[in-house]
Formats: sequence, structure tokens, C-alpha cells
Amino acid sequence: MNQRTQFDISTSADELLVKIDGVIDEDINFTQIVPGSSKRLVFDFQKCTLINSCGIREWIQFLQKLPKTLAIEYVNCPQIIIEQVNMVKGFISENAKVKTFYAPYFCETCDKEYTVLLDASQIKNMKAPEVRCQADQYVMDFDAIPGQYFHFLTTDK
Amino acid sequence: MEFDFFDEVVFPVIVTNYNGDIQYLNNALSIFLGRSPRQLQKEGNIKKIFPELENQIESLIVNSKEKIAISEEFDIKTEREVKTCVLRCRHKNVFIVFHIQDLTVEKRLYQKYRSKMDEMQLGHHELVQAGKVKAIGELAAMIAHEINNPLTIALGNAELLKFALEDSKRLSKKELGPILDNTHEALERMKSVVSSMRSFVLEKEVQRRYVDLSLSLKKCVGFIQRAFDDAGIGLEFESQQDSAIALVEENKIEQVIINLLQNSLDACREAIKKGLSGSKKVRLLLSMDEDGQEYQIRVEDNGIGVDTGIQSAIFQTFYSTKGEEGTGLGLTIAQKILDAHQGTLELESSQVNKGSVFKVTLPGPELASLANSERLYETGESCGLLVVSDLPEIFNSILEETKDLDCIVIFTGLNNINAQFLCNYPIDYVLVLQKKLTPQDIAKIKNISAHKSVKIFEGSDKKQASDPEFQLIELARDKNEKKIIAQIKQMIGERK
Repeated sequence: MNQRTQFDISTSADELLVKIDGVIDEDINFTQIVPGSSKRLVFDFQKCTLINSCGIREWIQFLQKLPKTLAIEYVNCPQIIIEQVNMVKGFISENAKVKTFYAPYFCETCDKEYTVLLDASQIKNMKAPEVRCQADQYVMDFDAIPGQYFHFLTTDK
Repeated sequence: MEFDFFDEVVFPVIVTNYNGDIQYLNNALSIFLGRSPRQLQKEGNIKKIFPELENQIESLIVNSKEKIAISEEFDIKTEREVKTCVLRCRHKNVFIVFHIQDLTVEKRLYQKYRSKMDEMQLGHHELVQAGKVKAIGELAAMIAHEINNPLTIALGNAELLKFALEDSKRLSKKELGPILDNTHEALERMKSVVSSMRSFVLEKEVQRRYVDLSLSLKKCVGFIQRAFDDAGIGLEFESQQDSAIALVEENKIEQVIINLLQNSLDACREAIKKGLSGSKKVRLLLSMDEDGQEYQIRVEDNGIGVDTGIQSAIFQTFYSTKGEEGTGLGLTIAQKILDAHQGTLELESSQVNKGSVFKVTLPGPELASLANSERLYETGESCGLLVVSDLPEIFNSILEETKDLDCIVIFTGLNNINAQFLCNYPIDYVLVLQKKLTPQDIAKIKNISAHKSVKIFEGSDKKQASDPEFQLIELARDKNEKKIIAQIKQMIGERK
């Protein structure tokens, strides 16, 4: 594994949790992620700082080698991951889904930008859920194009 | 909106009017810059999104009327990283379409590739140096012998001179002369041994010169003879060439030959250890191929031979048949040196317990000099000069003096002349610089003149030289190189 990426791997019951810390690029090495007898594999992207086109390719190749029966979940996906998920076919395999992700919001009242952690189940009809500013409790604007940002939730991913 | 189809495009696009006011931007631009569409729309003009490109954008817009205009490569700092890109621009009706080409990944991969290549080259260089240092260690004992003999002579003579100084009657002035000469010669020999060792170990700038291979090979034999004598193994040198002029880096070629001789010595020692019958000997043979274009140097021994199964492996880096004693670099380095000389190294034949023959080839002077003039030959407009001589020092002087001239100089020895081969090349003048010319030599030169216009002829035999077919110019009789060079420069000038 390259020095710019760390995997924090833990197992509980039938689940393997992999926390990715750093960048996903051409130097990443996934060999230490072995699902073994786990039935669920959870990737936590909270500390993933960057992903580039070479990293995407490595990721897709890695996913292709995993058992198809394995249930895969992506949690705490930052905006960079969501953007790649939307742009590249295969970033989420058929047996995978995004559970939680960050979305950009903007509060016009206090003129500040926020990233808000959303659960995929909150998205209905490709519309951003209503979120209030923590500072002034005003309803914030979704700060991206909803149809494009939530594209990954459609079946065609 | 007529540009909506850009929403599906994965590269960043901005559409502006002629003033640069933003008419449309796609989601990929937002992702690329790490800024929301709201923020980008708020900027209003493309020059505000790329303030560092303000002047370039204006000229891109102007230039894009004719064809796609491309900016210089530039770096842009986004929230996540610094990206390298170029901006492409083209007209679409009344709109200007800008497209960003992201070169960040390509550039980084290229830099990584370069850095790895540099590391590998450095590593290889260090390994080669390490191999040489080990080899010099092995040769140190032989060098000690080499230095010891002249040192003993010099010390003895110094003693004699000391006596002579103490009592002037003991030795006459006439007797002192040879003693001093002898001492000087011994010291010169030591200097030569040290100098050879230094040039073997230290990297030097590549400097090829014409040398007589026959003399170089004799030097190699002299260098390693002692080790053969100590091991009771015979070493013979045979040259089928009176003169064998080649364009080489002499100490590198000597390094190759010494390495092969050392390998043969080891193979013979092993044969003795194994109790194989018969006296062991190594033969170094210099010859020329049938076409007269290539020298062949063979190192033949009747040692333990190379097993069929490993005959190709012995040329691989780090493969050694000598266990911990070997570096596995000797033949690899030898091959590399010969590659650089357009030469080859091969195991010509080998039989277990019977011996091996290694063959080295090196281009003759014509091919080597043509390769050296390749740049000029491609232009097709240079003057062609054929220099015929058996004196490498003449070649070197002419090579040095003509290196900056627009002149292809082909060197050849009288023994090598191949009119059939030379007629393929643009030779305007033939310059012959030879101590003695036989009727056969004259015939050979006439043979060239049948193909080419011979303008200059020089020989020591005035009768032969004054053959009406040749124009005699007195220039080489006293071996005055300056006169020769001046004459060549004049010839080239006249032709132009």
C-alpha cells in the first residue's frame, strides 16, 4: 500500500468494515482487504481526500474480484466520491449501494456553504431533502444540480 | 437551452459570448474546479473563473475564428489539488465554446515514470561500477606484479646512480646514460599500468579514436600474461591482419578482452581442478570477415566449457557460473560496451569439458566512420572524402580537424579496401597516405577510381605516384599533418 493511503479494517459478526484514509490513485493496493467469510463489506470514505481517474480504474478492478454474493455498502461518501460514482459506470457494482453521503448546501442568510450527511433513503423523486442551517435555522438551498448529484440513486449507475 | 447536451459530457465545458460572459457551464466544470454551479454562475465571466489567463483568453477568442485555439499549459489551484490543464476554444455560431483538458494525471504519471527510469539508470550505473570495482580487485594482484618488476629495475638503477655520485670514477658518463634511460623506461611502464587502472575504474567521457586493434590486443595479453604463467596455462595471440584499424574507445575494448581472457583462464583452471587431461591453453585470434567489413576477435580455450542448458543464461545480468566469486556482470557489461560500438559478443561454440570459443565482432574502419558521419550522410549535400592509410594517428588527426566540416570522411586501410562497397557512398576525393605502395595497392586504388573521381594521390614511390591517372599532390611525404589538413580544407572549399 502506498504511504498516502491507510486502511483501518475491523470485523464484527458477518461484517467487514474498511475505513479508507487518504487518496485513491494509481499507487493504491487493495490486497489487504480480504472479505473471507464476511457477508457484508462496508467502505467508509469519511477520510478519503482524493480520487483520480487511475484510482477509479483500480477501484473498479478491485470490485470485480470480490464475490458477487457479498453485500457492499458505501458510507460517509464525500462529494468527490459521489461525483465519481455519477460519472463512471462500474464504480458501484451491482451488489453495492450508497447508504450515506455528503451533499453541498448553501445558506443565503448567513452566506455560508455546508456539507450535510444524508441518508440515501431521504432522497425522493431526485429532490434534495429540506435541511436547515445550524446557525440561523433558515432552510438552506441545495448547492448542486439535484438531477446530476443524485443520479447514482437511479438504477442506471 | 441549446447547450444542454454538454450536461452529459465528462470534460468541463463553458460557453460564453464574444466578451467572455458565461452563457452556459456544465456539471463537469463544477466537479473539476470543486466549486458549485451557483458560485461559478456568480462569476459571470470566464476571465473571473481563470483570472491568471485573462490575456490568453482574449487572444484565444480572436484566434478561434480560424481554427481551434489552444492555450499554454497552466496550473490551477482547486480546493482539493493543483491541476495542470490546457484550455481549448472554438467558435460555435455567435458563441465561444471553451473546453478544459485536464493533464494532471498524465503529467504526474509521466513524472513518476521519469523518476523511476532515472532511479533504474542510476541503479544500473552503480551496479556496473560495483562490478568494475570487484574486477579491479581481482586484477590488483596482477598489477602488483606488473609494477614490481620496473620498480625493482628503477631501485637498482637508483642505487647505481648513488654509487656513481659518491665516487665519480666508478661509472663513466657514457655508462650513466643507459642507466638513466632504463630508469626512465621503468617509471614510464609503472605510470602506464597506473593510468590503465585509473581509466578502467573511473568513468570518462566517451572518446573514440582510431587504434590498431592488433596492438590493443597485444597490450591485453601483456597485461594478463603473468596470471596465465602463474597458473601454468598457455596464452597465444595470433593476428591475421598486418594492420587492423578500428574506431573504438580503446580502454573499454581492452576491458572486454581482458574479461574474456580472465573467463577462459578460470575455465582452464577449473579443468585442471577436475583433472581433465592435456595441457591447457587459451588462444586470442584476430581476423577479418570475408567481406572485409568486420573484425572478428576469438577467444578460444580448452577449459571446462559451457553446458548447453546455460549457454544463453550466461549473458544475463547477475548470472554467474563462478558462485560467490563472480558478479554475473562481466559478460553483460561486455555486451553493453560492444553494443555501443555496433559490435557483438557471442558464444560461438562450446562443449562440456572440451572448451569454448567466444567471438567478438567490431565494425571495420569504413562502417565505423560512416556511422560516425551519419548526420551528414542524411543531408545528402556533404562532400565525401575517402582516406586510405594504415596509420591510425593520421585518421585521428583528420577526424579531429574535419569534425566540424560539412564533409563525410570514410577511413579505410589498404587491406580493407572494398570498391564494391564504397561505390554506394558519395566519395568526391580519395586521399592515400601510405608509407609503401605495391603494384597491387595501386591496382586497388585504381579500382576505386573506376567508380569515383580520384583527385589526390600520394605515395612514397614517386614513379608509381606519378601515374597519369592520378593527380599528385606533395603533402604527406614528411607526414606533415598540418599540410594535409590544410589541403583537405582547401579541397572542401573548392568543391563548395
